[in-house]
Amino acid sequence: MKNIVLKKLKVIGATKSDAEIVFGENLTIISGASDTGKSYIFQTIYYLLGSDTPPKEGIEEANGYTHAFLELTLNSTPLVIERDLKGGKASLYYTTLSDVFNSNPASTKVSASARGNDNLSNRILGPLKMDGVNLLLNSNTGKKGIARLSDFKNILFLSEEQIVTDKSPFRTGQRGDILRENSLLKFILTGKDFADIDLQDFPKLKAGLETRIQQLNELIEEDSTKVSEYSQELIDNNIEASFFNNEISALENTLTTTRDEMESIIDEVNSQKSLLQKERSEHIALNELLSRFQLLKKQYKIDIQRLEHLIEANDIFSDLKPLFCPYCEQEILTGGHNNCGEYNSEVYNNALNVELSKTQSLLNDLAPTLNDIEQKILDKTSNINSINNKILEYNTLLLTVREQFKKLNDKILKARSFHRIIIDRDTLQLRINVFKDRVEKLNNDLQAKKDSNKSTKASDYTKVDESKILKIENTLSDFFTFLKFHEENETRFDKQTADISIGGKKKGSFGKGKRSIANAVATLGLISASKELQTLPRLLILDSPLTTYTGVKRKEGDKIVQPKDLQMRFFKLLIDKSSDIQIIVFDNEEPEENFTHDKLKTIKFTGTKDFGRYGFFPVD
Amino acid sequence: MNKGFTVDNIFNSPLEIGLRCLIILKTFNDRVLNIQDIINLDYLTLHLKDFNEDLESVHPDIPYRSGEISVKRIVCQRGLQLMLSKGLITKNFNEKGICYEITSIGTLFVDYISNSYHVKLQEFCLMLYKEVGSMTEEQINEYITSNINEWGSEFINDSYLDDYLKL
Repeated sequence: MKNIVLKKLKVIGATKSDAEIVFGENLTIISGASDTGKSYIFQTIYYLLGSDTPPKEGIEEANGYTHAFLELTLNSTPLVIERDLKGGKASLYYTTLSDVFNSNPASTKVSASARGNDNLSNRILGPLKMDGVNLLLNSNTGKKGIARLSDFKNILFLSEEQIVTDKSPFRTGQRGDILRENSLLKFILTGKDFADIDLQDFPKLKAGLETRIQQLNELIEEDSTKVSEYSQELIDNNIEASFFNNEISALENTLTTTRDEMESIIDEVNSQKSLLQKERSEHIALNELLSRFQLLKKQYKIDIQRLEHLIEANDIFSDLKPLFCPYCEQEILTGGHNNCGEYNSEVYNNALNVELSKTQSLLNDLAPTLNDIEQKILDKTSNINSINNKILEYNTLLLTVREQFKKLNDKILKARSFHRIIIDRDTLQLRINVFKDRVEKLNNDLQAKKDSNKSTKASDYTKVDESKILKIENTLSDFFTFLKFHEENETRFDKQTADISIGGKKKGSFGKGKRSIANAVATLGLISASKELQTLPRLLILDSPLTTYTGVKRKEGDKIVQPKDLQMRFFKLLIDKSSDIQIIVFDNEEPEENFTHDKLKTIKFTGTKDFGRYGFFPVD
Repeated sequence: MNKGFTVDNIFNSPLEIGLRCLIILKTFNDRVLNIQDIINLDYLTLHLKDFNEDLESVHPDIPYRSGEISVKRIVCQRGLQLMLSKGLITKNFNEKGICYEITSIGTLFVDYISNSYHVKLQEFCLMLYKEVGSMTEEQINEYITSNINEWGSEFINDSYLDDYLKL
């Protein structure tokens, strides 16, 4: 089934009669003299199917026409494309051309270029299910692009310049487009596009790898500098890593012992201080006791003095005659004295002596007590001094031990800091080694990617399976054989050039006329080969495939005839293939009068107003 | 009545106090002294340090010594009575009440006793005489009244002693 069929082309102008042409569904041959508008039609169709270049205003008759319409079907859905012949957007009508002119139906304006989401290219390729075909644009970066209608048009439309090319008819000739064109060819022949293929962007990848390598190298350098610094510090301080753990351990043990010793001394000092406190309290108490006993001693002594005084005084006093009784105040000699407690000096004297003796005895007895206390005080004083000395000794010892402790502690801290340095240095060294391994691996990766990138050519990505190549080669071989194109017609397809050789002879080596036919046939062969896969719109438009061909003259009887065998066979081939491909041919050459077929529509432009159709444009 | 002699009445007996009164009356013979004056001067003679810290006392500075001033009056009366009975002093009546004066026999008696304690008492009494100078008896009394609670309260380390003795 034909997925696209061009129906009609019409151009209008305010001051002009409409120019219209109706195409046959199968093969349409529009023939006639030059300047009758054949190429104009070709260009207008090309323009209406999305091009920035309006048709050339080479023909005088074309002047004054402002708008063009192309009626077509896309999988049987009608569509009219309208464009201003000066350029700009396209208006789309999903109806027939007569409906457009008679009913004024709604239209949709779309961009005629491939810009934006809604454009002419998508509107046409969409229904053909050929939108969204991913082509490879850059094998280095992996850049992809969507195939546009213009990509297909490059293959399906062979202009009179393109048809004579000695290069591949599938190439536009732009160097930058080769990969794009090869990608499209691969799609057409295999049905596979580049949607699922992810090529790594090599320059980006390379840059990324190189950046990582550089970063790692910087880290390695940084770490190496630190390692050197650490190593130097250790050398400067004569530190050997080997005995370190043992030394720190030994120092810590000694520190613990020293700490214990310090605590023990402190306990001892505290104990001595408690003892001192007790001794001092007792010392004070003893002194207090002593002072009281000494007071008692003084009292005894003074009592003894008093007693001795009283004994003497009593003795003398008793010798004195009393004038009266001191108790009753009565005169003693004259009477009235009642014996009332007379002062008896003898009794008093005895009492005094007894008391004196007692007191002396007491004083004597006090002596050992006092001595005892004094001795105790001396002992206490001695104890106190001894304790004070001990405390002093302990404090002195404590100072020494504290000093030792501090030195040990400092030593340990220093050792630990060096130990830390050793650990850090070793850790950094390990890290350096890891980084170096990583750098080596990355360098290997980078080299592998470079090698891989060098060896993989763009063409490898667009390589087509041999069986598919064989298929098209066989198709073309059949076509050329039918045409009796060359002595040998086995056709080979060159993947490199995307061009053919027929019977061992490169197509480019043939003359212009045969090249034109060969290019037309090659395109036909490609469209035929894509039939199953439905990877091409089934439309072929050829401008002047036969114009430049002239057969070899021969003599028939007396006449010199110019056979048109090849031309006729060419037309027959086209008719045959037009069952499922709409083919429109513009050529000066036309089929012979008796060459008719129900699949063939011929439109002849006479170039004269006298008979027939002058050309595309109506004449007054 | 005969009393049995105990320490309570051996020391500070009427005789002893009387002897000290004689010494006071002899030393302070330019003053008119009543019994309270004599009691005050007797205390100060024995505890001269309480009047002037730089001087010594005859008797030791025992605790609560100042209490003796309060209890000595009766015995002092007896002592004076005793001395009166032997004609060693006389008593007079004037605006100060009953006042006492040493007699010539009393002076001889005082001078006659050679005991070292007796001599010491006289020395200290003389020192007191110089110390009090022109102080009146009322002023001396006032002085004693205002300081009486301080004398004999010097024992400050009782707590240490208590703790020690408890051990």
